[in-house]
Amino acid sequence: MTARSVIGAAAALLLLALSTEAAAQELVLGANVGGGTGLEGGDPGSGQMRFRRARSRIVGQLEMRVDDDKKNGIGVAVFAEVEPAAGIGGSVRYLRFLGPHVYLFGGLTGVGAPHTLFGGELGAQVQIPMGETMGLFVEPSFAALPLGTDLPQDHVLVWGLLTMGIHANL
Amino acid sequence: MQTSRFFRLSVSLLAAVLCAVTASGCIDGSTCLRNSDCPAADVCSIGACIVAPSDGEGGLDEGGVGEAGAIAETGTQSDSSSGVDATLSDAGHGDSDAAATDAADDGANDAADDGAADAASE
Repeated sequence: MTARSVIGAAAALLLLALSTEAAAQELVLGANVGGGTGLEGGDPGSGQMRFRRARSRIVGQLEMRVDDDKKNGIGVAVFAEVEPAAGIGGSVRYLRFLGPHVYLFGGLTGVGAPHTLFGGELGAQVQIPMGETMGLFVEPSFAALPLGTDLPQDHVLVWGLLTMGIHANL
Repeated sequence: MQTSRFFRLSVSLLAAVLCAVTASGCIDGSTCLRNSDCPAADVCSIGACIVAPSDGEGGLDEGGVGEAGAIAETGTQSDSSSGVDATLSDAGHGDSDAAATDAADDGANDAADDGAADAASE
């Protein structure tokens, strides 16, 4: 047996081992559909913070993690503000699971149309199982949005939102 | 354990949000906070929607020149120097009408004066 054949056999074994390990990692997906509202605050230029009810929104979320690291995940969300004014936006989040049905998240969020609005968000999500795959979710969150053409002045807009809806394990 | 704690936290936050929304002192519904709160042609300024300023003063100047040109033509047709004077001093449609009326009145007065003078001389 030559040295070349030994190296080839070792490489094949290594590839087999790697492929076996990769196959063990499975993507764990969850999806949410819901609606939310809350408080929206900002300084309109008068020097004091004003609050009002935030725009109602319809939300769709997708959470992703791998089965061998169920504590960390990535989430993406899209939302449509439906009243009293319309807008479309989204979020990208890092998810830190505290338990099988509870996680904290932090990430970037914003509105893309009709004007732009960008900032960061923090929050938590609690999922209430109702069966093997379905359930409900409750998500309080806080966002601070200092950037974008939707801001009339250089002030930070803040959202305190509560979103609820249906959760599904995919 | 953690689930119930976070569930209680969520319920507490929901209650706080509902209380804040129903407390009229916290909410000023007429105040705009975002430009998209206003109609498409308006922007939010100090909590109120105002007409969006134009991109530059060129548009206004062009509008003024156009109106002035139209008024100048009116003055030219009436063959009246007063119409041209009004056009140069102020570029408004109302002034244009006034200039045309003045010109017509001047012409009528002149004709009447000429007729009276001719009758007197005869």
